[in-house]
Amino acid sequence: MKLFLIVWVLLMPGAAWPGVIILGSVHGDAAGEIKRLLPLAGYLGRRLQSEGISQGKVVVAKSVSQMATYMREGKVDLYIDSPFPSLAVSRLSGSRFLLRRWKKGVAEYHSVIFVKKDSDLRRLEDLKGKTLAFERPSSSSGYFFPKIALLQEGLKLVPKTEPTEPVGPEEVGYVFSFSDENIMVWVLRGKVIAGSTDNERYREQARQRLDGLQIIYRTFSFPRHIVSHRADLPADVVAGVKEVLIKMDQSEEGRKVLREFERTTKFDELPGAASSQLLETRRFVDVEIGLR
Amino acid sequence: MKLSIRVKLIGFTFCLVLLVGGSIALYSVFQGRRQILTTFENDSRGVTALLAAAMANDLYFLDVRSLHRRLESARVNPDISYTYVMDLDGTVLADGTVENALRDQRLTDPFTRETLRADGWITRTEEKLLKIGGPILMPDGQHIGHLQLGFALQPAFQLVHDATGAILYLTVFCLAVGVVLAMMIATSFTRPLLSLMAALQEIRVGRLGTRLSVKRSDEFGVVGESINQMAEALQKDHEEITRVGESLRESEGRLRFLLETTNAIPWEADARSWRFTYVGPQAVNLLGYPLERWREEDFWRSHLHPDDREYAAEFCLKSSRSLKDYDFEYRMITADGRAVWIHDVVSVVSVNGEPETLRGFMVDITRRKQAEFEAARQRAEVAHIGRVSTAGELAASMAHELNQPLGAILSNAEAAEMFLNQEPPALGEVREILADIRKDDQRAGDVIHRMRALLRRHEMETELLDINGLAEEAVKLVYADAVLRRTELSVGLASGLPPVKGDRVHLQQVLLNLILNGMEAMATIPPGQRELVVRTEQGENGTVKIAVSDSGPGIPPDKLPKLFEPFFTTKKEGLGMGLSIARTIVEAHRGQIWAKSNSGVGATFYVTLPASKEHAA
Repeated sequence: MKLFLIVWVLLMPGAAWPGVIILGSVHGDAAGEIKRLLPLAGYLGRRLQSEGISQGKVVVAKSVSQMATYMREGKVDLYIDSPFPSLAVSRLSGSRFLLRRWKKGVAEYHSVIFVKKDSDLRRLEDLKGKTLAFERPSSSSGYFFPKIALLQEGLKLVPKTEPTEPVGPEEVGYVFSFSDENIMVWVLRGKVIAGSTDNERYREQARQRLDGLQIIYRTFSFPRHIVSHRADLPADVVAGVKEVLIKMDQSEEGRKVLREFERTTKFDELPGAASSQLLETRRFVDVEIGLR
Repeated sequence: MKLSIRVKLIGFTFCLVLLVGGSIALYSVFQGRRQILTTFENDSRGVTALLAAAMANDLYFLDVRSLHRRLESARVNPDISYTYVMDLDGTVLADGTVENALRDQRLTDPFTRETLRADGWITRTEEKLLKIGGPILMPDGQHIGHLQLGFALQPAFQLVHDATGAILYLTVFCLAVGVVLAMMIATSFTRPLLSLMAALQEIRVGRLGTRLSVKRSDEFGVVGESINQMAEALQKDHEEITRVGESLRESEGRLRFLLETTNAIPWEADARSWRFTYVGPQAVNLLGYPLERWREEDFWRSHLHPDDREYAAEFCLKSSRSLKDYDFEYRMITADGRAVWIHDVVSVVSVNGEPETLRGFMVDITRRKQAEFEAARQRAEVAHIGRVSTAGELAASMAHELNQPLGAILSNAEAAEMFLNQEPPALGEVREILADIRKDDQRAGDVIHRMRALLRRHEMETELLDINGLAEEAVKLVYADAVLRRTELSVGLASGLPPVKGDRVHLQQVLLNLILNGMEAMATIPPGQRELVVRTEQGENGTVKIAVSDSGPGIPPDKLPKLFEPFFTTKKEGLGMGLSIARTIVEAHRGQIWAKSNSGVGATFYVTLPASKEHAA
């Protein structure tokens, strides 16, 4: 009951709370997400006292746009998510990337587009007139980056409601499977001609059928998760946060909190190359979020 | 081992409760187990079918993620051990685990193969698993895959176990309650029963004042009340019996006193050995022997008078065998050698048709017998006097009757003498004459013999007599007299009459008396009208009747009642003893004699004598 009151309070944010560092997240399960992020928020609150911070709180938004609004209004100080939603929030609110998060030991990953080995498809162009499966619209590795790759190849992507829906010869149809496993099963069973997921899940889902699959395209590598901060967060606080997060894996307390936060390995500096490549995708992001 | 009714009742109730409770428990366990397993199976099938229906759409769209989630949700149910959703070939799409490790694996176990062939839901119990498998169908019936769920039977078995335990505990509890109730019921039943028994035992040993305290209104109350009423009735009866017993004892005392102080000596003897088992104390005075001697074996028979021993023993034996009461007379010899006449009245007690016991009274009739003998002697004397008188009356006729042969003898003797004097003597004539003389002599001798027989002193001797012969002899005796009296004497004898038992002389005397009286009665009427008829005929009630009718003036009615009294006579010279003697003789023969005037002239005297069942000698 107490937890729900807290959630309710945090879900109804007003202005920024003085002395409080607020972590934001986009998720359908607000309570679960708060439970997941609250140790990290508390840790930050305790560690940022020198910056006038004495407390850490969590705010969960229902969508990227809502999160962008919260950050723009100063109701969320920090936002941790995969590259595509982080880019979208950044484009909508002006938030800035701060650090890279190693999630479950993975610092960065990339997307793959795969087909069955016994198919004739070997290039992205071969997908014309076919339908492939993405994971979900908010997925970085399962949708956004492979889609960018396809678009950059000059292919015309057309959304379909069913894999069996006809596709024009110059088009590439796509459907959302909403599951990496679905994508793998659909490709293996021929429901779709190709699928896209990240490199880790590809191996995970292919299992012993790996030999029967063929990757026809790999995207560039991008950070697993990105920590962003609102644009108007004071620089000392940003610096303080950066220092605390980067040093988290160096203390027992910090490692404990990291483990509790989805087995996060550590936070580190966002590599420069990765930042550049992410920035190059801005126009695609703008299209996706309707800014263009 | 004798068990009390309480123990039996408890045992019976316990056995009954055990039998019924045990049967119900076993039945409940069996049914409960079956019901639980059936319900579990039905519920599991329902869950499986429901899940299959929910998964149809996901399977159709190959939404493995949704399938996985649905199975994952299903596996929240702790009863579900495994879940497989398979395509038409039996390749697993999702197994509900986090890893979904079996995805893309084709299952080939027997149940899966059976599932793939099945049109509907099938079940199989393997070890502790209930496997349910069947097709997943689209609403239009399109077969798109298979679902297989494994349900752990442990919860069902646990439920069965729990239910069985509960039933057994309940049964044991019920049995315990049943036993307690049985004991209570048994106590409730036996307590009044024991009270009843105690009261009955008290009453049985004679404590008739015993009463039950009846506080119940049920059957025991009724029985208790009945016992009280019975005890009260018994008490009254006992008092009455006591009173009657005392009265009986008094009465018995009086009776015994009477019995043992009268001349009748009561006795009881064994019917086979004739050994006395009881003899009244008067018996001591009867024969002079102590009572102990009376009870010796063969006492009665050995002390019979030798002349009566054979008769009395045989009579007793035959009469006893007939099982009818009887009486007889015999003589016994006293201790001092005297003969004592006994009239013994005997009652025969039989068992199974055989004489068992003889009871009776012995009466000393010696004096009576002596009186009877004296009376008989006197009667014989009187009869003799009568006969002498009769002979006197017949003297003239007999003299006349003797004259004829005597005259013939004389004339024949003279004739014989004459023939002997001839030369040569006519011996042939003499010889014929001598033969005639012998015949006449015999005739005269017969007359004299009859007279002598009539006049002889005689004591009554009984023999079987032909009453017709008796009548003919009497008529012969008076025939000559009848001729002198110019009386027509006729005889009408019936044939086939039975013999009578009596004294020939005495009965002849009676007939002579009646015939002579009749002829005398006709003295006053003209000789041509004098008729006397002697008739014999069958009498009534087994008797033989003799009638002597005359044609005289008859007997005045006023004299009829006195006719047979002694010294009553209508004759000038008569003593008035003839008819009195006749009545005495007839009655001594258990017969009757009476007279009545004829409707025409004269009178008739009748004599009836009992016919003997023996044949005449």
